[in-house]
Amino acid sequence: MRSTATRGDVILRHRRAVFSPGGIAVQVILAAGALTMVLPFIWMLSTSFKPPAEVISWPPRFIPLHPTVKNYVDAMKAAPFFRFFINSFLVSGISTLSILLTSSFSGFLFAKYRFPGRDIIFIAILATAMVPFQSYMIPFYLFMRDLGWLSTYQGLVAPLLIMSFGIFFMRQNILSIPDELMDAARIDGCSEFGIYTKIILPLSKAALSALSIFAFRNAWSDFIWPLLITNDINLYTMELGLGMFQHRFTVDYGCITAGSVISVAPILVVFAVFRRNIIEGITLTGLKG
Amino acid sequence: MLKMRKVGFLWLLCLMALACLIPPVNAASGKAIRLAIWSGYPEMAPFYQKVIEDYKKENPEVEVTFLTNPLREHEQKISAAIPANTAADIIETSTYVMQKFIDAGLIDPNPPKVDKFLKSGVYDPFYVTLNTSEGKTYGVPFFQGRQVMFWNTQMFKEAGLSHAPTTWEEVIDFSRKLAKYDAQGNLSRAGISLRKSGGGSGVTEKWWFWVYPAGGSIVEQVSKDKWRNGYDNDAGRSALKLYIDLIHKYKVDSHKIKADAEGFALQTHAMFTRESWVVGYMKQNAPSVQFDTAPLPKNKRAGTICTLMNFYVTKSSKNPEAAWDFVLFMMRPEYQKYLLSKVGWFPCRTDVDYEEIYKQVPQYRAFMALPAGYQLYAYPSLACYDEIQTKLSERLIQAFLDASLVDNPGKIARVISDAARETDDILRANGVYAGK
Amino acid sequence: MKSEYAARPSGGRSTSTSRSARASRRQLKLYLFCYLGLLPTILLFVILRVRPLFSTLQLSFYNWNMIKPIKPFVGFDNYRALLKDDLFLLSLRNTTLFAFGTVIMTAVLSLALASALSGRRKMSAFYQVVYFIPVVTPMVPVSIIWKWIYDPGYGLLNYILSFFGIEPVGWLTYPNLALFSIIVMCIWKALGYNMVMFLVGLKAISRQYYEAAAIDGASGWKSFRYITLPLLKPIILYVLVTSTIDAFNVFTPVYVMTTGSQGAPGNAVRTLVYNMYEDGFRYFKMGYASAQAAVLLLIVLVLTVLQFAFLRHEDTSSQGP
Repeated sequence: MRSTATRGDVILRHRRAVFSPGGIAVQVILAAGALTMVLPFIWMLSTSFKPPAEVISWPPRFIPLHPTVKNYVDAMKAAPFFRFFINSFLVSGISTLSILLTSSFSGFLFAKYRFPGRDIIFIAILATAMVPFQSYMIPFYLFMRDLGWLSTYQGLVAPLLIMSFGIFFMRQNILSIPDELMDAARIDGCSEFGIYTKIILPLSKAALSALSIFAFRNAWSDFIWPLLITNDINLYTMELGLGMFQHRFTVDYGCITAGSVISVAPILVVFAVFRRNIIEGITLTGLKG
Repeated sequence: MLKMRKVGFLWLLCLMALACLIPPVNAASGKAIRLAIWSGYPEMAPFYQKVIEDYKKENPEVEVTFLTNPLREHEQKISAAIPANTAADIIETSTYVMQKFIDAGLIDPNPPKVDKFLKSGVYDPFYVTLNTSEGKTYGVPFFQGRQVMFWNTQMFKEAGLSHAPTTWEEVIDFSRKLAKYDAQGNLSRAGISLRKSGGGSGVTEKWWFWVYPAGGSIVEQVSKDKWRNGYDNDAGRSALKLYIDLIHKYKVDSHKIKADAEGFALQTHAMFTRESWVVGYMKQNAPSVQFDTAPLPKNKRAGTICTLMNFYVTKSSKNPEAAWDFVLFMMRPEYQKYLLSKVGWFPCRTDVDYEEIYKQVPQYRAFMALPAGYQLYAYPSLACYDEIQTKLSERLIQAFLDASLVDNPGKIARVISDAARETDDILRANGVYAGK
Repeated sequence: MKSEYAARPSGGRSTSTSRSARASRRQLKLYLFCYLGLLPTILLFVILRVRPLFSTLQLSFYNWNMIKPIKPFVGFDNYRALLKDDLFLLSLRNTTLFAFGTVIMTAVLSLALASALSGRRKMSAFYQVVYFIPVVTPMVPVSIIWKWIYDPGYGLLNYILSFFGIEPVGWLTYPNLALFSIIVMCIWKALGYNMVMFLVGLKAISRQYYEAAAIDGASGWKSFRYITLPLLKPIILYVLVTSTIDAFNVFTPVYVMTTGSQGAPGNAVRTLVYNMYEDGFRYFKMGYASAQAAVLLLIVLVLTVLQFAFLRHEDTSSQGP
């Protein structure tokens, strides 16, 4: 595999040479962009600590004069956010696990083997992502009804068990793992499945952790399906709970933002845990088309 | 590099969560009779909590649960669940949303006991008529949406005005006195806040409250099952002209000013029309704002819409008798009062005395105590009405932005007749068009 | 660079018949391995995607109203009606604008950001995290935040613009601005994801290419144009394909930003899926909505195949379908 450290240094030199005249301009643009990215979140966080009078004060003030946690207390009292969190976590977790398993193994097969019908199957899998879930939601709903899975965890998680982009992503990643490694393993008497577990999986750990973030995020943000399938507030996910919550406090921005912070925080924590893996991961594995 | 321990820990957490979750979900099914209610109003939660608690004292064998979603999501849920026969036992929704399911035979008429209750004089006969289809009654009226004018008494006083506008002339005159402008001449406080934007059908609905007093309506019924547009006439044209004049000629409302209940709470405008829930909303979110309510201004005639929210028992209910029993329990006078004082939606029962609540919250009075000559009108029982309103909304939103409509009766007439043609086309496509 | 193990024994080309018979047996075994390995995934896809999708496509040939008991077969009537439906054509136009806006802008911006960051390792890690926060944030909180940013009276955007003497603007309520405002929000949300993708690609480009180019006197824009861009093709393909599919499927941002009295007017931001949703779930015309889904599928499929065709890596190792 390539050694990132040395390459990084080389590119470092190369880039500096290319961009040094406009270096300061680039810095300014990057910083401005970063500010644009986080400013809304800073506002959200700051509003959630403001007493009602300050929420609507004009011009906007980023540091509350009289910070309070009352909004959080009210939000936690108004909706069972902990329960929502557990549900979201459970659904997203199972969905992520299933997507990792199916995507990595079929991505491996699509990338490293040639068999009749391979490209057709691949494009068909990709094609299922080309129309939104809403377009076949009703047949899916009726199917879940016939299985008796309405208002259950199984029903909640069912459409999230697979992900076309996940297979696409893993395929692109595994393509760049050199064949020589696989051949060497075969000579050592390794089975094809052994190649998957002993070579492909360890080498795509990083890509897998990146995929896990996307899969987790995807399941976490699902809104329309949980709405339809759950008939019990105890099964509500964070997104659904927040949607309902938002309508109860249309103008109470303090409370709404507190609820939003509560709902965003867990996913940011998961992201923080996996952060190094994604960033290093994608950079280590690389992509190839 | 990947921290396997961290990942393992996360999965462990996941499995633990799974392990502690499955039992409570299964254990809940032990009770003999289970009932579920779906509501489209999250603010209704305290009401349901209260009635369920009280009902359980009298009927310990019945376990009632409720689920509230925002209105748009609630309606989507019932649209999927009623045809699939997977809906909750009791559904709280409006007559006009349920009408299409009733027409399709997906909802059963009321059993005799409930029918008798409806006709026993506890309701205004108008409500009973609204909920009657093909001679049979459906659903039990629970609460109602009536429109009134909310006006900020403080602002009115400062402008030297003592009462809410009662006529269109006063609407224009008062709005101009109430509007405020900044140094550049931009509107900084709206004299009146009209509904001008947003997806869905709300824009048409609010516009209807001006078309009606001018003598028109969105659709008019010609005979049973035959309809046509009711606004390609002076009423429609003058209602559009009123909006255009207020926005572009007198500049007393603007797209840049915070509108609706939010704006009223933040005091960005002096008056607007809404339902009774705003009273409770103001109490919770903006207790310092001084306001009162008044009947909608009249023109050629006067009236207010009356949208009924009813309880229906679905075909998917396994215990329809218990469900109806619970519905009738919720209709007891004390809970009707509880609904008004705690939630702020106006209860339907007309035989209950709400005087003590009026004394506490005088703003409620304008909703029920209608001046002489005020009519009640309702959503037509027309399955395609939502489509008509939604598509008309888009045209109105466009028109409200068009400053060239000021003092341009020809163009206003054209906008109106184009829109009316679309309305008639929708009626025709649904086979209920009456012809010119 | 060879990236694929064709079903062939590793010992090289076989000559004798017995060896080739053994080889073909081994090949069959490999095929079996592939098919068996794909079986669970394919089964899941068939049950969870293909089957419901086919029932939808079937519905498109019926006048299938969700609540009417009689659902007559109408052949291609739904499709014919689509061609004359102004709202459908409007949503097609809006979606195309939206897709062009978001796909091209995110691709260009994230590529520029990635190029600027690719040499600076320490800084890169920091910015990657910052730019990634919107990516992982779900849509409901994002919409709450952006409605505040766009609020005409209390919004952050108008507040910032007021420093430059620009008058307040109704970002969501003005029809010609509403779509633009939603595009900006979606770019904001997707930028970090694509930026990280491009960073990967840039890191993978060997320094020798740049050194060789430098000897020939090419640097700066030229080396970017003639080295970076061609070698980035695989990543560009991945980014374009996934973001085009996402853009044509845009729904939630539109849905949440049209809610409420100060939301965007429906027509100004009417996208294909929003229109489909309205026809299907508000007017109950499921058959008609399904026909729109079929058209959407066709459009995106053609675009994807075109993207694969145009960006097929010249390198022989490419196995893009």
